[in-house]
Amino acid sequence: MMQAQIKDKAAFANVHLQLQPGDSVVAQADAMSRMSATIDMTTRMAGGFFTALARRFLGQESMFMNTFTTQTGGELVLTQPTPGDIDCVTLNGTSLYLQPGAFIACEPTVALGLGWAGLASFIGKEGLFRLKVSGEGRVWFGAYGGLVTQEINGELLVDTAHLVAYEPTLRVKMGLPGGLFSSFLGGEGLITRLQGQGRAYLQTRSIDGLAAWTNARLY
Amino acid sequence: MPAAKNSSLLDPPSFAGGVFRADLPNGRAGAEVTVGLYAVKAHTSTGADIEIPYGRCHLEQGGASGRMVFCRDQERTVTIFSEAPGFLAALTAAGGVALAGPLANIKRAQTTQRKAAGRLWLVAASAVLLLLAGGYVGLRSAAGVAARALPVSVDRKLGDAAYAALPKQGPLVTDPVVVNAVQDIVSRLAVLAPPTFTFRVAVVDSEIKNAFCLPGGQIVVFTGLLALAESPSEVAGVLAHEMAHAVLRHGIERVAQTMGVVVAFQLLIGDVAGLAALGAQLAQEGLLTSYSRDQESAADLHGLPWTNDAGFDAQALGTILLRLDKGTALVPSWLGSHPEPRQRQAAIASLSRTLTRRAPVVLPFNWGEVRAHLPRPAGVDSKTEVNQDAGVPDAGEGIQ
Repeated sequence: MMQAQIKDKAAFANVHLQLQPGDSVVAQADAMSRMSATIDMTTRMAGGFFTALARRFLGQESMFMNTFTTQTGGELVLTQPTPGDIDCVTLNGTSLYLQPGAFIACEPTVALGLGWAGLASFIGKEGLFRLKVSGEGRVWFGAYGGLVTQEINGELLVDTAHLVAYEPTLRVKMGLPGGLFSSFLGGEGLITRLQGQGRAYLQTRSIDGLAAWTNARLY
Repeated sequence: MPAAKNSSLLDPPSFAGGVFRADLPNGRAGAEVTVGLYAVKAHTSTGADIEIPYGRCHLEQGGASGRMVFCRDQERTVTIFSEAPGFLAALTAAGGVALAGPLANIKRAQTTQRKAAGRLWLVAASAVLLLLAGGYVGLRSAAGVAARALPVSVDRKLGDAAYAALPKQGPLVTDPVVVNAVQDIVSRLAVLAPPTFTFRVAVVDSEIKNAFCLPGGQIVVFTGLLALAESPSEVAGVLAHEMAHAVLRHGIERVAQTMGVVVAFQLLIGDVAGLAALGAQLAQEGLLTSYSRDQESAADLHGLPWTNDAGFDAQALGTILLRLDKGTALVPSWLGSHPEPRQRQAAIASLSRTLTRRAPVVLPFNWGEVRAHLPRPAGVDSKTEVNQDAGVPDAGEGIQ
């Protein structure tokens, strides 16, 4: 089994993979930070032209995926564009939905698909579709800030910008945390209600929050 | 998600799904879910077999899709779930009395959910339509306002460019009797128009019974119209109407409106490179496409006082419009892009009565002689049909 280690947690996490002959890993285009010369990289559209197109325009993900393979072994280091933590989930016939931009890499036994996210997600600026990973194998995904795993059995309210990934067993509803005025004047905007049983992965910071903070100081 | 496998009593239906139980790795696993005679069963990918008898099964529906069905035991320590099509139907068939209550609840919830989703879609579709319609109307009116703010020299440049590019539909008439007569009528009307517009006229030998005036003041009169007109007043009525389009700047307004909407669309789809090529084409097409009903009515009302004040019979425009209308298909007025001729004639007659009559104009030419000098003299009817909509066939704008 391919050895994997997440280093420099949590602020500048990156994934170190020791590929053995015959191993391969599928990664988001631009995720590679460095790799041994013995590793080969091939770039292809993720799941056919139309699926790739849908990933780009409906799921806000890259149209392309890189596949790393090796005949003799080598090291591959993957990372993400933003500072923050990276986590690994092992799927055993289960599935996981990832918010746009969260996916970094997976083992080739993992199936990558798109799942309908709903109009509410679109209104919440999270896209009409989201990436669905399912099957068997490991998936690496990242966040801006720290990553928190939250086991839910009931209901949890999350700021939409802090949601990174969740299991399909959870119902996701968007709404306002309070009344119309208090929600927006209080700066909370839209929140996500996660209902049912399952696991959600949350980030401790949000890019939207950083952008708003920066914008406020530019003018 | 695979559908149910073929089933029988010995081989009950099975579905792709999963299970939650604390002693599983990570507390969950994917599983093949089987709907048995007395219990729902799960065989996990890790090899564990788990079951919940129907009598102890609590049913819920949810998950990200809203279609996932969960069977939990009463202590909520084990949950078997699937969202495969047919899973709920299989539970209904196998669960019998034990699951009748929970299944009825789920079906009620499904109905409510479907209705709510339908309402959401309806609201979303209405919002998108409203947004598009509002954007379209707003953009057109903003473009119109912007166009009217441009100097008149822009109209002249656009009109001249279009005139140079237009197919002329026939040779220019040079007979001084015809040309001078038309020029005389134009001059009498032009002195009543704002001085910022310089009107020039060309007479083209063509069977087309029409005339048009390009932005900036270039007028084209076809001999077909002159042959049809029984008096100089009828020609003056038509020309005043066309000159009014130029003075009211309808042409450039339409170019700006058309370009505004198309440019917004191009920007929306990200085709910036296509804009330049499109701009040149639209400038020409925008000048030649039909005016709106409002613009036609406005040109009638604006041009009529000029006809009257120059000493022509203002009602003659209505007369020639009705003559042009003969033999053409009747279209209900609300369907046409132009006012219906009889309505127009009535409006013209009504407005004419409010105008102070001037002394009849004394013209330095005889209309009968002018018509006799036409390359296609009056009375020699053309084989072509009256072109109601175009100054030039297929594209132009005329008195309609």
